[in-house]
Amino acid sequence: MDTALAALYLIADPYVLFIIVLSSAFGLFVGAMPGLTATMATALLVPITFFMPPVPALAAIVTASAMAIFAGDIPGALLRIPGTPASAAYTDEAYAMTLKGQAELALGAGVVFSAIGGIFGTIVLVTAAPALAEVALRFSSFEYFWLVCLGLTCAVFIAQDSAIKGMIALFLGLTVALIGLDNPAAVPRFTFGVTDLMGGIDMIQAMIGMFAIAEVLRAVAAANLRLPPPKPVSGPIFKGQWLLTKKYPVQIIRGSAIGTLIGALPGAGADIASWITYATSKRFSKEPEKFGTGHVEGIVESGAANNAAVSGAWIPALVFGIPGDSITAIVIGVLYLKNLNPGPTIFLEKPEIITALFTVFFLANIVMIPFGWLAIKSAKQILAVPREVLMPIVLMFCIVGAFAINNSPFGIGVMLVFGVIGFLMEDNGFPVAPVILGIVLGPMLEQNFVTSMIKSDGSFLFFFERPIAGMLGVTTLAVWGGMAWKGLRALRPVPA
Amino acid sequence: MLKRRTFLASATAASAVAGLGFKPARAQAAWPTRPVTFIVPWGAGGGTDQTARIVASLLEKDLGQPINVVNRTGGSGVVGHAAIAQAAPDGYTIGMITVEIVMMHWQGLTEFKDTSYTPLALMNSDPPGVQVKADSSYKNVKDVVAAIKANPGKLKASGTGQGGIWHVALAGWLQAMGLKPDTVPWVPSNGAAPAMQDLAAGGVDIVTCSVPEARAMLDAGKARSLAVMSPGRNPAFPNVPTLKEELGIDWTISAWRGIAGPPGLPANVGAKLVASLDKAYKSKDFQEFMAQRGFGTVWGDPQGFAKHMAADDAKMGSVMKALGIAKA
Amino acid sequence: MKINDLVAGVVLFALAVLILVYAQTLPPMPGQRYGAAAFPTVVALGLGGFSLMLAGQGWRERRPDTRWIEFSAWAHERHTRGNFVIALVLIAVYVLLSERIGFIPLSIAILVFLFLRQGVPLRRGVTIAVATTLAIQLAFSDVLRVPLPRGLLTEILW
Repeated sequence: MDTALAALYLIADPYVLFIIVLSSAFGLFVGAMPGLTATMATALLVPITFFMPPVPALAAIVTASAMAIFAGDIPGALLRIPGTPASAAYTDEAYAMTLKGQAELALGAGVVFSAIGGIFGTIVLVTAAPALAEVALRFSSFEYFWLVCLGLTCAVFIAQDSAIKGMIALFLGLTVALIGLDNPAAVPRFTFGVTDLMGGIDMIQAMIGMFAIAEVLRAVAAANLRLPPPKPVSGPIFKGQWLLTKKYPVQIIRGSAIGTLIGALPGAGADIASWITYATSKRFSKEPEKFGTGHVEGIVESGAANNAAVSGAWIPALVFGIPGDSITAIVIGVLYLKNLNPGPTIFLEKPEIITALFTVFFLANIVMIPFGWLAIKSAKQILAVPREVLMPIVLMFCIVGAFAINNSPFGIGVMLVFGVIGFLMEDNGFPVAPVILGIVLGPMLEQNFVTSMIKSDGSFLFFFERPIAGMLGVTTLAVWGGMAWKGLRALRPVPA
Repeated sequence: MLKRRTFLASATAASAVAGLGFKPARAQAAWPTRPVTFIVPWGAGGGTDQTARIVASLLEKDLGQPINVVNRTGGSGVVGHAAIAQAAPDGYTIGMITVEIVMMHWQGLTEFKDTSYTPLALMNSDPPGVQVKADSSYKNVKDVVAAIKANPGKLKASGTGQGGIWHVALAGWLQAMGLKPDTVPWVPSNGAAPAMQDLAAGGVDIVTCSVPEARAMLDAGKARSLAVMSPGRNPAFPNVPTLKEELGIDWTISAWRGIAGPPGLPANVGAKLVASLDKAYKSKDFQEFMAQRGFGTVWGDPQGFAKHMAADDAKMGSVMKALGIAKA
Repeated sequence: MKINDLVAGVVLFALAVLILVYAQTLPPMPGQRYGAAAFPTVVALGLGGFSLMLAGQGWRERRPDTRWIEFSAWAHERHTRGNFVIALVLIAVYVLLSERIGFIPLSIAILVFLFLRQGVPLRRGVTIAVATTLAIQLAFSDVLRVPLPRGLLTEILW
């Protein structure tokens, strides 16, 4: 009860509420603007959140990312350009609805079911995270080692076209994680005598590079940055949404549940959740032939899923310090900067902050309805902001943001290098998210392996001796075995 | 023609002289005339950062210019310490240096050491405790020593990274008892908090981190502190005895934090800073802030600070050599 | 820029070999079996293995007309190629010169340059560049206390 009161006190602060309103507007704008993603919104917020107390800082990130994921639907429906990758799965469907004169229904479904999905994901987060933390308190390096191994395995699932490219991206991330002095042996590696490299590659600077600079490079290299005029939205937006809710309850719950689960899987976030749920929606639909012709069913399900994923991703991030998606990868960095090291102890030491954070999640998904309505109504104005002016400004913000992480121009250089790497990777079908997974999980993997070996005096048996570790270990090995078997079978030429 | 050229040349020379004369005068007489950068080699929110920020806010009040705290993190403190040592000695960049400065050069991580700075003031010092799990069978530090001697290599300890201050604290303690420094193998951790969690989870047996770092777990009843490696008891934990009381050995060590500038800081700038730091140290704000967090306070003027660092440097060097982590 | 899988695989494999060789030069941890070299070795083996698989895939799928490196449309167009290179160069210039020149002049210069390249009219570009720069300076340097480099303006403004 004291915790709840303390949390309420933290939230009811006018400053925090002001931050929530501001970051809502920011998130809606960034999400609606093609080429600016939710991850980018978070990355650009980091230098600003730096100087805030923890609760408003986290509130800003939560609100902005949730809003951005919804707002990505707006240009999808009106221009046939997804605002963020998380809306890409059903952009054609939404645009087809707009052509049929149903833009209001499509966008209304986007905002209403985004909010419902987000709230569903939040309920799971609020119930699952503290329970998991209770268990995780008894985790030692053996359990964490297996957990990290399982997390790394998710890189295969992130890569939708090529598992090999996903694994290479993962190992590139692990390679980046090798740089510096912060390893168990405290030996400088791959620093080549450069003092700035001793600290290793900062994850946030690398992410600003791969998610924002790569996008800016893509934009400046485009022949024409101007957007076509969007289709107008005039009718009522919420009319008919109640009917949809009654018509598609199963789809809403299925989308929210799958979305939360995919969000909670390390590295996989809203974009993958929306692709997968659009597919499940079609597969289990009573009228699959209508998909692609401007049918709202898929939008309901995957619109709920991508926002549920935003909440779900925080579960492993808070409990284990393992990022559920690229947004929470940045969040983990911010938590460390605020000395709120993610892990089960955060639930013991700072319960009021956790409760405040959960409240912000509910709040953000509730205010999404009125703010989303406003954003849809002013879509024409938002999309009229000239991108040829916006992109250079984003570039300048990236420069200042990368600098602010450790006040060193070297960090801007890191951002530049990763911008080029991210650009090249995306051009060649390498997924970027596994790199982040590798950078975050690499040090954890090494740390937990080496310390486990020291504790066990070099015996591998200890990795299976503690009951939870043994269970996790057997699961991991089974998953790997299954994947290797599948891989080998795929390699073998099919007899004619 | 010639006249004009001479005139130009002399005018240039005159302005150059004027410029040269003007700058130091401005730096010395009226310092500080613009904001001062205060470098912290560790991350925001940690103990060093908190201490630095309270000191900076008190300096700001006293000197009348903004003191901007800048976290130059990375490389276990190497990056920030180098930035302080390499700053222009004009009084507009100072910083907080920590015990790591007398350790890292032994490992060959940096060329900078205690003599690479103009020491200004020593302000904080935290000795490590010997922490064990709350429900462990060790009632006091003598039990722990008996267990270590009975089964060398069996007990594992943690608290910070390999070769970090608490690793040296453990090794020096073992050496002081006539044991080999690796009798208790060190499990490197990313700082004290994860080590304390691992202690509670049963992953390690001993954590030799400072008492304020262990406090959350001690207060939560998940760990117990058996002894401190300081000359006297900690006022915040009066029931925890010293090593000397328990075992009769003289090993003491601490993690300390002080303020320093780059070498060659002008004498009057230094004097003004030291006076202001002395005022800050004696202020109620500082003392209350430190007491509330359980951080130990200690004052060292420039000479005292330099002497303290030199003594620590020798101590660290000998233990680190015995541990095999110092480069020859 | 599309790099053929075979080329990418070979380049990445070479990187893996370099990591492997470098890792063997790292010192062991006193008294421990797994030191600084263990993890880089594992990473190098993993990267090397998957790179070979990628290269093999590229080799199997090669055709007589396969191009090893294929440039996308923007790289053929002089203007867009210029934009791309200029953006990279401007960031590099900022990294190298910001301490000396300072944030305000460099930021205005970079923004004006990029605006002009994107076809923004000069007067409008300059106005927006100055306004953006001053807004960032105010927000980050004065409110958030990020020590943006002062450079040339040190003596004038402070």
